[in-house]
Amino acid sequence: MRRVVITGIGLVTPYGSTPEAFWAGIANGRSAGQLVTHIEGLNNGALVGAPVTGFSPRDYVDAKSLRLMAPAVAFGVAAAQLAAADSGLNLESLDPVRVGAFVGSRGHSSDREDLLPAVRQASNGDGFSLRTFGVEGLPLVHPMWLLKGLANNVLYFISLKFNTQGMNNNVSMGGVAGTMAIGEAFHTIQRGYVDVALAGGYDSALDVDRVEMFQSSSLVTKSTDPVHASRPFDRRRDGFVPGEGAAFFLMETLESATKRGATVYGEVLGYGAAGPGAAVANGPGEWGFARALTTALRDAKSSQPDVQPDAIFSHGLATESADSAETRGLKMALGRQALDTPAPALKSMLGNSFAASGAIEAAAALLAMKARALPPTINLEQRDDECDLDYVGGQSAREAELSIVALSNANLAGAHAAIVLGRDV
Amino acid sequence: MTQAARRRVVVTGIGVVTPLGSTIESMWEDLVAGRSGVDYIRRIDASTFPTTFGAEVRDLDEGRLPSQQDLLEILDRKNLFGWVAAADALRDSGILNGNGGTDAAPHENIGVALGTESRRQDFLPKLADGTLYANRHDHLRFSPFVMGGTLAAHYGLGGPQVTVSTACTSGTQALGVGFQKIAWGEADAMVAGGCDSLIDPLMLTGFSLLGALSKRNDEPSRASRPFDLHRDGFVLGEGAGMLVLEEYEHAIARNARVYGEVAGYASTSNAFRITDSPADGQGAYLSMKNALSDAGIAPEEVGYINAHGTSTHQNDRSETAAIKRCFGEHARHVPISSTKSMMGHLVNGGGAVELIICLLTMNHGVLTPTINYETPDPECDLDYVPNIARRQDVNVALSNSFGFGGINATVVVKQTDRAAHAGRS
Repeated sequence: MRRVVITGIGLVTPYGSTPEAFWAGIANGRSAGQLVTHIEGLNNGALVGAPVTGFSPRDYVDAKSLRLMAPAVAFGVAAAQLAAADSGLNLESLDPVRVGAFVGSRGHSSDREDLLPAVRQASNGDGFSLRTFGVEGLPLVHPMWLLKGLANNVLYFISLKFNTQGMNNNVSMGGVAGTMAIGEAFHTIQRGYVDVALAGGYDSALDVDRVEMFQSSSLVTKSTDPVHASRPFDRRRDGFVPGEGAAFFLMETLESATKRGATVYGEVLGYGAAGPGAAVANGPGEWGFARALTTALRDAKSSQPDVQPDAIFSHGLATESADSAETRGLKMALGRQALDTPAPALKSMLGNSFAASGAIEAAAALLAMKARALPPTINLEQRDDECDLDYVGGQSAREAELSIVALSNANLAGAHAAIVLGRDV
Repeated sequence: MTQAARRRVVVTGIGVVTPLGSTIESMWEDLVAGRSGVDYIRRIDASTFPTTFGAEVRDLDEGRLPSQQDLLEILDRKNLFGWVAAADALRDSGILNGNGGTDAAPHENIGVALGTESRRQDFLPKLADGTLYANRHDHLRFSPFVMGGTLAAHYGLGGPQVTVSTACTSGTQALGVGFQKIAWGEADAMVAGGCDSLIDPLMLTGFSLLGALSKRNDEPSRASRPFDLHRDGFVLGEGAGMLVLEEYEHAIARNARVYGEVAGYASTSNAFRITDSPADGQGAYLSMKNALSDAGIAPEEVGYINAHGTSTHQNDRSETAAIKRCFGEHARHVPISSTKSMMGHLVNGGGAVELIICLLTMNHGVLTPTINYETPDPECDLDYVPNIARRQDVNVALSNSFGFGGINATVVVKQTDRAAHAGRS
């Protein structure tokens, strides 16, 4: 089996779009939470969120293409470009069918602002008329409307920009999508289907659809204190803070990275995915957390016989049930070692960016190994007996020798995924 | 590819919900008879839209839908199709008879790979009256990954879960990912396939505006005419196809009925335009070539191609060019048909239904026709099995799917050797 390394990182985050700015944010325990006062199409006033800042899509995408992109799509396209540039690899010099792309995506989106004029045109005192819409509404919709919300939009723009013609996937798996995109790219390179891949995830939980969708659930925090709203594993946690962003990676074989003298951020050692098993209710569950991590660690043994993670970058969703389930799952997977394995939750600072979150957490893990320090779980103030691991509570990074770290993620329908990353190659 | 390390994968269960029939038997009967499932749309009033017809599922017995209220709250129309097809495929395979795991996950080595999306069919009327997200389960109901998680929790499946959203290519990519997960030991079996429903105002609007739909409103059943000179676009359909993919030894050990072997898979990107396919069929050519190479099968061995064959001017021309490039002289001899001529385009559900048709073709020794083929197109000059089914033994079949965003995927299936058929009745 071929060894797979990461030689480029591209980030679009609430702290900015460079690895340095991102690391400075999380290492200093800085909450990205703020009062978000304007969301296009939303009339309900302010909410707590962790928005991307300092990002100008026009720096990455021409105006014509931008009109065909839902806002979060530009995050993904930008992060992929940053990862490719960071790697120093000239992708267009390679055989295009040996270059793949794997995207953790939010899936289809319908921008209602694009449809509202047509819907209003077809509504009168009696309500909405489909008959009227067919005649008078339809011509008011942008001819390319369908493509703007295309689920595989980022994958398309990556292929166009970098001529990636090889094996690909667009994984629309919510909170595990970013992790899975990296995992699927890893296996696809390891097994010889492609030699190089761009992989990562993008998403935004800060658009009107996502905000409204979750308002009627009990999954989002009700806190109005932006900095302290997200508190994974704390006894007073009451839901996640909606976030957004993107992270992409340039992944290639160790052989090609060595040959071209590339800077290596780390190695992908293992990947595992799992379903809920016979869960009583959908959602993150202890069995799935344990199964995904165990599978990823076993997968890693093919390249590293003695795989013992020095830290777990936890999912830490900050809902009552998910965090206790994850705690039990990590114990199931690691046994007594779980108590000695730090498990910081980045969502305490960055909120939940769904399909982007796993990829952003992978970037954090790679940077942490290099910096020999673990970012904290902030807002962890009151201990919950159900959550009794070492989550690196505090407001600043902790020094730590990290040669192997694992990522644990889940989505809201009970899918789980984990990857294992190594520092030294 | 290091094929030696790979395990063999066979198909042991199939299930469908299609406009031609919602059982394998009724669908096959209609396909062989060359019947069209296309008619004026009844589910909604589409009378003022540029296209007033589609291929609707009409014979699905309510009694086959899940009765549990919680399932009905989170599964929309397309996912209910998927649910029924998956239930049929699992029952057909008999793989859940007997308990292979623990109480937490009775079937811990069975996963789910689906091609589906998160589109909402009632988006326009709900947007008009401002009641888009009123139910607390809406964040799940309108997530692309809900079907996989729900299916797994219901049946106690603990294996990897993947949801792929690449529009028209999703179902075939999901099958490919499922195949690879078993081949490389990540699962012993996968429920794999896709589901979709496109007969709604939003999709009619989106595809009409792109000029992709046939406007033959005076004779709907003759509208889908792949490879015919007078084709003018595709016909929206709905439905689902689900397969149980299983590791060969696992299937043999339990004396399972085997429909055929999944021999190879590939996906590629055109890196060209978002909706158009290149005239030379480059990406489609590479997809077929790589899938055959993955299968270790020479082009001359292929006995049937289930074409993507959408009935758009561009696709059919481009696909024909790609087949000629891939198969050389053999292109003139290999029968090709587009079953979309009868059931329209199931988009996310299409690839899986079409692979099931490939398997049935091998099992019955009958080629299903391309109906409405009347006037040859000089640019489409191959054997499309025009209008009438044909008796012919097929040992190797290939199914193509190509989608918006330029994603192509191909799956190759072959007859399993005699030993594997021992369990067949």
